[in-house]
Amino acid sequence: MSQILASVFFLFLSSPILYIIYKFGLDAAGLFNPGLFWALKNSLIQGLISSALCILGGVLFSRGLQKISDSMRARLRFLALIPMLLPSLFSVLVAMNVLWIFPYGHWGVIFVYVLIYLGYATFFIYDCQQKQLNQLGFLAEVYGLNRWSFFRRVYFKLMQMDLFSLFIFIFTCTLASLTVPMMAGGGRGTNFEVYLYEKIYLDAQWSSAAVLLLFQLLAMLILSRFVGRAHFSEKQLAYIPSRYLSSKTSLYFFVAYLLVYFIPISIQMLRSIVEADLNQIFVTEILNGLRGSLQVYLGLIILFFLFVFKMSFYYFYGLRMSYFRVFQNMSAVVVGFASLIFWPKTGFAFSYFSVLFCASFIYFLGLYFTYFDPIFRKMQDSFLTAQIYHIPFRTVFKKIIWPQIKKPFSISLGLLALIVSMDFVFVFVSGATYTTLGTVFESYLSSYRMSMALVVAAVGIVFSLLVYLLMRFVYVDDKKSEL
Amino acid sequence: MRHFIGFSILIFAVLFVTYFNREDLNTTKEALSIKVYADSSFIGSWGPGPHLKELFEKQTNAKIVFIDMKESNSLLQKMAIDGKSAVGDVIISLDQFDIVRLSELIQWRPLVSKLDSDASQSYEVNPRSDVFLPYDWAPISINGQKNNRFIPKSLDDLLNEEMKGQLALLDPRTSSPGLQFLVWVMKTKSEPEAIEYLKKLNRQVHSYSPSWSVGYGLFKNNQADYVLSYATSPFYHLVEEKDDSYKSYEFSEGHPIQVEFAGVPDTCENCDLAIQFVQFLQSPEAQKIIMTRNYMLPVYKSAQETTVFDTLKIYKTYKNQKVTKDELQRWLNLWSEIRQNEPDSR
Amino acid sequence: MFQSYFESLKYVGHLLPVSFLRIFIGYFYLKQAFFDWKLHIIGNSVVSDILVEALNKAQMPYWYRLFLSEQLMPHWGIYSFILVGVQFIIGLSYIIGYVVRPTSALAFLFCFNYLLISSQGSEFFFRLLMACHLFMAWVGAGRCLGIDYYFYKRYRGVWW
Repeated sequence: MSQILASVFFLFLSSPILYIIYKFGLDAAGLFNPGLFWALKNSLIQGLISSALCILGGVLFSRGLQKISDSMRARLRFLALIPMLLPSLFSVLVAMNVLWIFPYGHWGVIFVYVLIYLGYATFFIYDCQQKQLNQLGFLAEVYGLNRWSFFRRVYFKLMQMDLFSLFIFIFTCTLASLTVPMMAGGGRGTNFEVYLYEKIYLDAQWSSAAVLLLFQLLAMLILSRFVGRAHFSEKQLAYIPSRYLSSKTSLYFFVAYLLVYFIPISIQMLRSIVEADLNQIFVTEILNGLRGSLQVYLGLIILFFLFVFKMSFYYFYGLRMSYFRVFQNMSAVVVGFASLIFWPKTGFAFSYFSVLFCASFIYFLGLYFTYFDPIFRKMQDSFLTAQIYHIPFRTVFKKIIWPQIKKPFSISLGLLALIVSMDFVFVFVSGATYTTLGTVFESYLSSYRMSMALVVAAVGIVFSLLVYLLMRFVYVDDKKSEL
Repeated sequence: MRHFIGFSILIFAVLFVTYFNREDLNTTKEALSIKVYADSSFIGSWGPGPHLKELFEKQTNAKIVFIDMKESNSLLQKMAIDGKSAVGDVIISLDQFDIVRLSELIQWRPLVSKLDSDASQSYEVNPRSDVFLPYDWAPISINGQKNNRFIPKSLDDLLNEEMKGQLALLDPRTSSPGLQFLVWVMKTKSEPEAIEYLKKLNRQVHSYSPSWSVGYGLFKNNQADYVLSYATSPFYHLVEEKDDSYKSYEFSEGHPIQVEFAGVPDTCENCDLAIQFVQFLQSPEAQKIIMTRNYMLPVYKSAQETTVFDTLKIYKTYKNQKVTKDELQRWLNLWSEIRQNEPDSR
Repeated sequence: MFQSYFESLKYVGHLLPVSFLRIFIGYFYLKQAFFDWKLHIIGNSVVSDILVEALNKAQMPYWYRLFLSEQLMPHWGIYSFILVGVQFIIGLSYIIGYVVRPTSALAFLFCFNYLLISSQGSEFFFRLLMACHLFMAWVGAGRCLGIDYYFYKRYRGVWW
């Protein structure tokens, strides 16, 4: 049964690529194009440097997290993960506000990537340190090992798989990114995804593009094998802090990074709101965007619920999702182009379904692996017991699964609200003529109308916050349902 | 009871969504609407689109639905794939190179201009005038501030050290002015010279923006001191911002001219209305709106009389601006190669 | 749910003729809803003219006349939207046989409203409709060839 489900699910997730290949065939000449090597070179430069800087920064900053209390650390963790949760367009806006003269090209792209992933890297490394190193820092002090020897002989030896896994994760994210190289690349920072976009939409060489899509899928498949390969020691001893793994200076730098991310943009946003010339046409554009975002959001709520239901069904019947991680960073260009070809007509219904199709393919799996897969893994015993007693799946979903996924479900819906209100990629790649807050935001940002872009961003954030609070109110009854 | 309330809310939600996305049906027989593809600078709140829509709808009692075209290339490719089921009544924001490269992808309706030949501007580039009508034009130039230290006077001056990292150019694959610049270089120099020139220029350029609005945005926000734009762009600052510090630089080689056209695809739904709209774009009232919102010169000469546009210097243009499809494709491929092979100075 | 839709024929098959009546009335409401949507909501609405005509009717109860003139007439656009929405709810509910009992109650009030504002010639028609709705609510018409059977099996209660 699980093999059948696996095959069906795999076919479904690969359907955009398969449809493009079916329509246009394959032309292997696309693999030998100098442009491809140039794009790969750019992707490697941007990906490798960004990942390396994030790892380096993470190793340094994580030492600062030892110096603060648990509650303060929890708050900083929340703040540090925001850049990754927000659509990358927002981080591009932050970067352009931080730097007066923005270095378009590789360095501009790398700067944005570091802004996005540095906080996540810091806390990831901190968590791994807590589990891997336990008391080793303290023991190294006791045995008189110097700092350099400790890092060389103990720290990096134990942490190498975690750091490598993190490196690959950030690298994969940069490889699949369309927004950042497009907005901050200045025409020079063309990575593989942008190259693919140009091949499809500008050059119209679809059969070459189909080969490149397969190439990308293969690369993602290989890379995904290395993500999540952290090894933790079986005995979890109580953690004892040590001088080698803590530093006040690191803490100050980490806080400075957070301040650099949040303070200038917040000030600019407030200033733009106060000074905004809210003329009729501008307000109409925002309202149109808000309406479009709301419509897409309502559709996504229904689809996401069905998706989670379906995934829990697959999990219940033994399908394990680790093989499908490769589709987590699905190329937005692939999905968008398949949608563009599949939904031929222009018109509200087709545009709407096209946008929903793209958004669900691009974001749902990521949300699933982040919030739901760990929970389902913990429920395996319950599923087995239910199967032994022939309890129907509907009952299992209602009584066992749903009470435990209500909170992550509300969080996911909050994130989806953020995506529809601030991201433009899923509308952009679908080619649909549809206005959301994200497309309005992008049009202002790309034409450097910063103050208007900031006002739209503020509207998007308020909208997402309201939706998140509403979803929490609806789905999360009391503290007992928190995991 | 919960089920009933939920069911009722669902029905009303669907009705709300349908209501707010309705196409208003006029019960009279003349109820018609046309779908017009245009680029974002035309249909944006700051462009001529909303004002033209208001005027045309008042005159004809019809409805215009503007659709953002994004790239003309991908739009026409998609329409070619869709065949008879393609949607769209009018396509505007096409320049002479779009017509040369892309117009054969689909069939077009014949159009007749209602402009008197005395009333219209004359310029060299007007390909396929049986199916495309021009509605505005302007010379292309490099713009900057009057107080810039270095004032370029020719294409070769763009290679000057003073301009390093300060020139915002546009991607010729996605931007009409960008392609105009590429053709300008190719036409005023021999091919080997042009290739060498572009390689050197590549190291000077600040960035290649995908569209004019992005590039000009960089310039306005002091990210670059010079930008590829239209000779009429300084008028925007003079009229809207009361700022006369912007200037377009005249080059000794002569300038290219960009002309924008509108056409009606053969798969149009309301073809008569679509043709009427295209002809409306050449009317005196529409020409005034296009001139004052798009900041481009009108094809109807009299529209610019007694306006600031009448004070525009007459720019020398270079000879023989016509190109073939193969030439354009070859030059674009050359440009792509040059862009890829540049040493990474950033 | 799909299975129980047809299974209902086995267990409550005696309600089959009522179900046919229910589906027919549902189809009638839905057709009218689409027509009213195009005419009153999308097109130039004439609802306000209907309301004005109704106010001229002599037999209208005083309290309803007050309600109509004070509350509904100033907001006749919203009123017409709600009425069309209710028609859609009744039509869909009756056709698929979902939440038929509460919908019948709503339909009863809906017809009562029309009874008060309609001309004398149409009064009999609306009284007949009201009787049908009452009948369908009484027997639980959604249970046969309807989704209500699925919930009726599990929850019982007055609403199914």
